[in-house]
Amino acid sequence: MQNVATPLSNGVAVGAARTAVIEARGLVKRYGDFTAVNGVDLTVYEGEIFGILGPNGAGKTTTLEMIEGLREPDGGTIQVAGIDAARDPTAVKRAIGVQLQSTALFDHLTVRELIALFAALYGTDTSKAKVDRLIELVSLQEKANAYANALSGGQQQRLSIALAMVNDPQIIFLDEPTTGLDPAARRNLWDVIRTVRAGGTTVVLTTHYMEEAEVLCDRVAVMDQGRIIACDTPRRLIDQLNQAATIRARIDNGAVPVETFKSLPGVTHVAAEDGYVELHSEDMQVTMSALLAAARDAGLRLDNLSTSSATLEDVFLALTGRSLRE
Amino acid sequence: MKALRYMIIANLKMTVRNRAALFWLLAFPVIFIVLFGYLIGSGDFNVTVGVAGDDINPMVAQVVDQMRGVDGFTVNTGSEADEMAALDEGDRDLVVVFSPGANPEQVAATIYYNQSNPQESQIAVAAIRQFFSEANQAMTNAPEPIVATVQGVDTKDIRYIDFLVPGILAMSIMTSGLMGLSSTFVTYRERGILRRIKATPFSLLSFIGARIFTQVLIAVAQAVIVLTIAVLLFDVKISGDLISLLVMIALGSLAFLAIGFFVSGIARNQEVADSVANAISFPMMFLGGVFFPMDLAPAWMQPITKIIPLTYFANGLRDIMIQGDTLVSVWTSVLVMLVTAAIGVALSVRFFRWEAQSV
Repeated sequence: MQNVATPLSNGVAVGAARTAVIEARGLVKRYGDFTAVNGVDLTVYEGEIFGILGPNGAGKTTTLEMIEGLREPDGGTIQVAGIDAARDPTAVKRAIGVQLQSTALFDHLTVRELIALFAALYGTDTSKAKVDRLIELVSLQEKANAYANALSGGQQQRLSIALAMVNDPQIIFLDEPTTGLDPAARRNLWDVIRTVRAGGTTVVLTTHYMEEAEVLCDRVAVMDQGRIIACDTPRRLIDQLNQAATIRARIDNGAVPVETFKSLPGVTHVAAEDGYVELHSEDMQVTMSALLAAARDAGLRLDNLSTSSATLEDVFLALTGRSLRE
Repeated sequence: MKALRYMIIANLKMTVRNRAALFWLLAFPVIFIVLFGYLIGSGDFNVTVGVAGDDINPMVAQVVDQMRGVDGFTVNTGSEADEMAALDEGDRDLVVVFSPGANPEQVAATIYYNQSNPQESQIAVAAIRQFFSEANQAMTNAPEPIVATVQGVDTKDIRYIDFLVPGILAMSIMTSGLMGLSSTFVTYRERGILRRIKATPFSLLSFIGARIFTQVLIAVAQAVIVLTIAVLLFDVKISGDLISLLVMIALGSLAFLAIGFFVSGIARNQEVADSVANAISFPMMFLGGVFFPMDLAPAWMQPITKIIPLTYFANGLRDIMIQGDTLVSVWTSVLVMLVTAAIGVALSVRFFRWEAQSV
């Protein structure tokens, strides 16, 4: 199982035409005795949505903040949009947009005023037309004149994204943009992020929600304990697991023939308990038809038959032996 | 420059829209002035002075005559023993005993006051001292000492409210400087706003500069409103020029903002910031001569009042408002404010932190 993860250094499928906009090599950050980030290599390509997935405390935020120029690394090199982050952090700040983990906004300023203020802080256009365009980008037209502290969590996050876009950045960094949001607000934010990318901006985000990484990101770096343990498209990360799918059923009218099920084509693992059976399969279609035939032959009835594909959650479990949520 | 302008305007908007804070900014000094002004007495201050030894030379007689002409002074002359007895009885606020000085041109004046009523006496002593200093100045400047006049004293007779208003003004500017900036920055840090600013190309120095500029502007506006109320309600007179007064206010504000900024650097959270700011401002409030002159405070207290920046700020404002002094003549106060600001800024830079405890 340890081999399913391809280390970043040789695992990234590099398309010939892709341009790297971020190249980080050997990033290290220590806090006293604690090594928060321990030799991270990252390459992000132009125009992709790149996710850093990992549990709390994995080092995602620290990694992001070193790339953003907010934290000085203790080791390693970072190139952002062709700029050496260590040599010219201000130039990096001008080229990128950021949304930090804890939404940090001034009270008593309206959405419109905040966007204009941040545009001014970046030394860019503060015109009404530009502010309107950003408000529209994040669908906050109805709240344009509301105070930021009166917005809902999802609206505040969307405002943060608008603020991250005031300088028309090449890359924006979103640190756990959907944490704490309800499912509807989360999907709404995904749409905003997709719109941003459609406009040509590269998006780098961190998350500890595996379904978010799966549906939103083009590529995902799985991070744990300060290291990147896998990096690829969500599809390929999942495919690299032997376990491509799980089939579950309840059998009421007889004992579960575990040995028979184990011998079915494609099956890698069988677990049975209290009349429930769970099969892991490399090839869902083959296993499923064989399973149905075997059940019919044995006169067994399969109730509540369900199938599910492997997820990034399973990838993380396979790589670390721990669940993401732990 | 555009970024700075936007930041300052945003700061001003935030201040004006924070109704609760704005209310206290103005209510705090006004309540103090009204409370002390009405309760302790806002009418003309009347000092009953006993004089002994007024006949030791013609110059003294002349001065005592002028003293009689001053509004607010009731002058009785008599023997030293009689006057001291009257002071004991509470019939005099203070007694001045003239005696020959070290050389023929000098006269020694000893001022006795009743310690059982220290507050009134202190104000009375301050008033008589001022009278003497005016008289002296007039005599040494005039070609003939004998024709010296003390005109002007009657328009500048110290009422308690005249003494109080500059003190309260100094105190409230100190408080808003200390409290306002420290809690603002601690909140900004706790909520990650400082980090967000750090992520922009806008420099820390500009961010702080914009904040300080805004606060000074607010302090000056606060002072103008409080002074207007004091003038309308209590007929407080401002003898000095307004420019000197406003510049002095701005300098004082700057000094206490610098201290407040330092506090924000060392305080871990809002509660600590408030406590530290209180620990700094309370002693200053009581030892800085806000409510009563510290001239006659116990001897051991004197050195303390002398090292408190608020003393110099309050005195500076007072000298400009009451004596009609200019920035140049209150240079000690100006200097102390500048030095305080410089020390505060140096400490602030040393202790500044972008974020609350990380990882």
